[in-house]
Amino acid sequence: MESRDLAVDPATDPATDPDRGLAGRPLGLNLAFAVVFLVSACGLGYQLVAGTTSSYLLGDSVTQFSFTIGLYLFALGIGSYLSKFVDRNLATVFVRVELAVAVIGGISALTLFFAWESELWFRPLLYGEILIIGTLVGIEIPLLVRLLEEELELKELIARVLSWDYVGALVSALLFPLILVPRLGLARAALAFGLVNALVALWSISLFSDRLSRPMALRIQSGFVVALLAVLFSQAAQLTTIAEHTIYAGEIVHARTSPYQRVVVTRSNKSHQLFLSGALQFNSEDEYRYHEALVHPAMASSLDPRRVLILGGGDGLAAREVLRHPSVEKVVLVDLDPAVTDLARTFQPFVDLNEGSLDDPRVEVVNADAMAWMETGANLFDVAIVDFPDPHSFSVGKLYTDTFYGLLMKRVAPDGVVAVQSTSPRLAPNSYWCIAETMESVGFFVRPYHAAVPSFGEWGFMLAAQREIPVPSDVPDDLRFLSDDYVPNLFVLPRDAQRREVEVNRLSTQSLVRYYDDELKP
Amino acid sequence: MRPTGRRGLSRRTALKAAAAGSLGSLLGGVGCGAARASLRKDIPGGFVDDGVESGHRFRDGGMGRGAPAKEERCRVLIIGGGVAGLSAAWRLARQGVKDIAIVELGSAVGGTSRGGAMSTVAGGSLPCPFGAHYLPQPRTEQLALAAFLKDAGIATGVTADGRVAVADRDFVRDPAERVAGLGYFEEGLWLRAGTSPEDDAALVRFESIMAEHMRLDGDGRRLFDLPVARSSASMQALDGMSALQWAEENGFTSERMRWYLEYASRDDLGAALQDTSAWALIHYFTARGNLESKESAGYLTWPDGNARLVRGLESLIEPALVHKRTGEVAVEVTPGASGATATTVNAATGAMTRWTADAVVVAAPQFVARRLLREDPAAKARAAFRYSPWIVANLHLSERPESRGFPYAWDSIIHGSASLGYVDAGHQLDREDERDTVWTWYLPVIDSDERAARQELLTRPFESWRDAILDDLRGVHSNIDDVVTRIDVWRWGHAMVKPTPGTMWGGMRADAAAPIGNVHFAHSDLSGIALFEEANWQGTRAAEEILKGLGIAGESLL
Repeated sequence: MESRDLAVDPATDPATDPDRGLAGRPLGLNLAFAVVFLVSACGLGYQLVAGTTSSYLLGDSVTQFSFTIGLYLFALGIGSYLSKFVDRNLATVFVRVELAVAVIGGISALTLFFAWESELWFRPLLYGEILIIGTLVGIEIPLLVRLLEEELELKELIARVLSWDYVGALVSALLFPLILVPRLGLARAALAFGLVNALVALWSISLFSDRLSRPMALRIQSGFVVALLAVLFSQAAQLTTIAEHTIYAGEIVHARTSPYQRVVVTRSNKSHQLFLSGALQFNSEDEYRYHEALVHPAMASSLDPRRVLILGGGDGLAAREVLRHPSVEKVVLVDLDPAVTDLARTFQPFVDLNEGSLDDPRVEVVNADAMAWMETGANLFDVAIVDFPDPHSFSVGKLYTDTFYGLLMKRVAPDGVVAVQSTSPRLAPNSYWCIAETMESVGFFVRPYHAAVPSFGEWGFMLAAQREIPVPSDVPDDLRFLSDDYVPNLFVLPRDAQRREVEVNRLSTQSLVRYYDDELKP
Repeated sequence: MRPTGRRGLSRRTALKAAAAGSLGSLLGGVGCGAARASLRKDIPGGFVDDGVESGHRFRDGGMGRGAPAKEERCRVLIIGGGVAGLSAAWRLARQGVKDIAIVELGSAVGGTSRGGAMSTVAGGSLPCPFGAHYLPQPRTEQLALAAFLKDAGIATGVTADGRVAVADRDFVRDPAERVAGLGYFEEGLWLRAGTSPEDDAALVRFESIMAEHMRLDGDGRRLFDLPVARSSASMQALDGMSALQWAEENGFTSERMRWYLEYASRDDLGAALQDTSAWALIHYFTARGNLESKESAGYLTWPDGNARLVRGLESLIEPALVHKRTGEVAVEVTPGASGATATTVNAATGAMTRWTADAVVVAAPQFVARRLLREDPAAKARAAFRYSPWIVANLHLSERPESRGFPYAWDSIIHGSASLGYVDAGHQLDREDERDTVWTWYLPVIDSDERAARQELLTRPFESWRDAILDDLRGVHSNIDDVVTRIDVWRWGHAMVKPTPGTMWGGMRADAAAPIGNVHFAHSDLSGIALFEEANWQGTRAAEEILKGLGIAGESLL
């Protein structure tokens, strides 16, 4: 069909043409430009939401914003082109498009948060949403121009529509980072844009009421959309705690999904944080406290630590501490995920932090399942440092079972020493003591200890050996946290972390995962 | 008709639903092709079962004609290398009997406890079961089984509550099972979603009725015991009714309870509720429980299921064996004045062997045993045994597909499916560093007309099974087609004896088990229930009959 001539046809009678009628009202035109302003403000808003959410979740903000803006502008073009196929009921189509934008754009951030865990769906959803919102917004402005074409001369119309369009973009671009995101958060900012779109739809129904065939039906639909978005807006805090539990405080500087976990590095206040599947592994600001406490008591308890086994600890930080001991000849580090050990070797801030420990000639890195690995070898170690993630899943829980400690005992020399990261004795006392109980059940002599690590809180460890060992004291001189005087304090447990009766963790019961789940459920 | 619950099935609908059986609901009836074809047509696989063809040639009389080519002599000849036959050999070997020969129709011993492996992505192999895959932790009073587990180095001692102790890694790893309703998994077998308080109350009531059945009778016998032979006779009236009748008489008619009970009867007895003896179903729920605590037994399992136990039996009998022939079909057994003779045929070459032995153990199911004997006083009893077919499929997956709700467990059950769901063979392995695994998918064919079902089983092409299996799994794992790399299907024509009403106490089992001269019988079907425990006990019983005949003294393990 031929698109209509943009020139105003004075012969057309407003009374007989349903697509006319604003000129009769003094405020009509200005209100219509307010619609243009709001529509473009919201349109840019969704673009900002998509760009921010994706760089928030995927890292690499240059790429994310570049893709988002490019795709969005392209989609605007598609929308503008598609608008020529709208020949009748311009006002009705406009209201419907507004409502569609309100819903899809309004919930865009929420849906992206929920989809983020899925490697498969996140990107298709992200780019799909950008394309759909862009296309819908792209239809809006041409439709508005055509709705207003009878009211003004073309040059005037284009000038005013486009200027309000760009003003809307500017206002949105200023409000978004300064007020909307800090005050509302991403999810509610998107919902707020959606609400504005829905209200614009409602407003447009009054504005163009004489050009609508069934205004009441549209009013009901708009009312429904407003109500839906308002409910979501009021519940967004709750929804986002569900969706945003893995959203990080700092800026994401590296994000990758390995077959085993999601590896995310953030940066804030000049320090770096490593998250595995959303759980903080270390903060460069205070990781030295954790790693010194994990490594040195065990090294000090060994008479001659030459061969050291590190299970987990793919970040290379425990290895750094181990290598401070000149007696060490060989370190075998077994970590499941090459994504973590590669990061520790190639990501410069991490290499600086671990002092290149994984590329030290004394260190051998093995990417394997620790339990399977222990079953296959036979060589003995003087010290074993066990630094697994907290027992948050059944597959990690097996690495804290009596079966596992039985295997570990076979790989440690008779006078060897073991240190195990053991969750928090204060936040998860049942979990902490379950690890002690389990290690003792296979015959380890266990000395529980703890250290204050600000990023984690009160953190717990087990020092164990096949014979009774004294509280260690002799640590290297150049440490930042531990000193010979201070080490014995680690072995004094505060009152709120006293031993309690718990079950042994077995493969057949996974008691620890269940304790941990009870104690640290968000 | 008794009044049924509001949401319960009426007797008629229940019967109608069951008449369709598992094949009907899974495959959508002959020719209808209800199962949606796989999105990926190129998933390879095929049938891996063996022995069907040679078994049928024997059945149809196409074997054993002509004069025997070779004479062999042995002390005891065991026909059938399943768990009963291997257990008979183990019991004999344990008492110092040598020169034992075993002939087995299949390409390997183990019977329905056989296992195998599938190739992995990394070029290794992943063990998996072809049939039975777990053993409930026995009580020490199960003397034969406890002795075998000790001999095989699996038992580590005795637990405080009187069970055979084993290493923790031989138990099913936690989490053990999960059940999916509408594609969302929950822990356990009792689906909570959509369950009414009345359903939960019914389950509690059912469990308390079962607890009441865990006790001793006036003579100090457990009402329901393992082995079955030790059970009290006082509850035999229950054998006169079907489990469905029992459930209705006790008011367990809601859809949820019916599903729960039928899942148990399908899983452990291979039969629909109306084809199951009420005695057998209650036996399943009570025979393993601790009389004091009423606690049920833990499950022992291995990556290739009960094939681990078969390997244990094989290594224990190895020194006492003079012959172990697979692919060898027995065609005739004759009791003699002293000893017995038998004829076997090599299925591949047709070479015949004529065996002379002091005793023969027919460790084969009764539908085979009845074709071996020319004169059989128990022919009628043997003809009355019924068997359910099963399909066991192993699926190799390049990685575990998406799954909603409770995380992956050993056993994943799909509520409302004709299948039993699947067991993850990788669950018992320490290989987080390799992403692939094998799932063993089980379908007990509970159709009341077993002969027709068996026919259907053998005529359906592989592709039809493949599509039905993937369709079943797609309901809980939408991207299953993307991760399955191969499907191996094993068709068991006679997987389990069916404990139909009347078979547990009707006398036919005793008739069929009675020795004929020096020919003895050993098979789990003689216990009425297809369990490893029973096969092991039946083999032990037949062996002890022979030991007695040979004048070899020893303490009984029965």
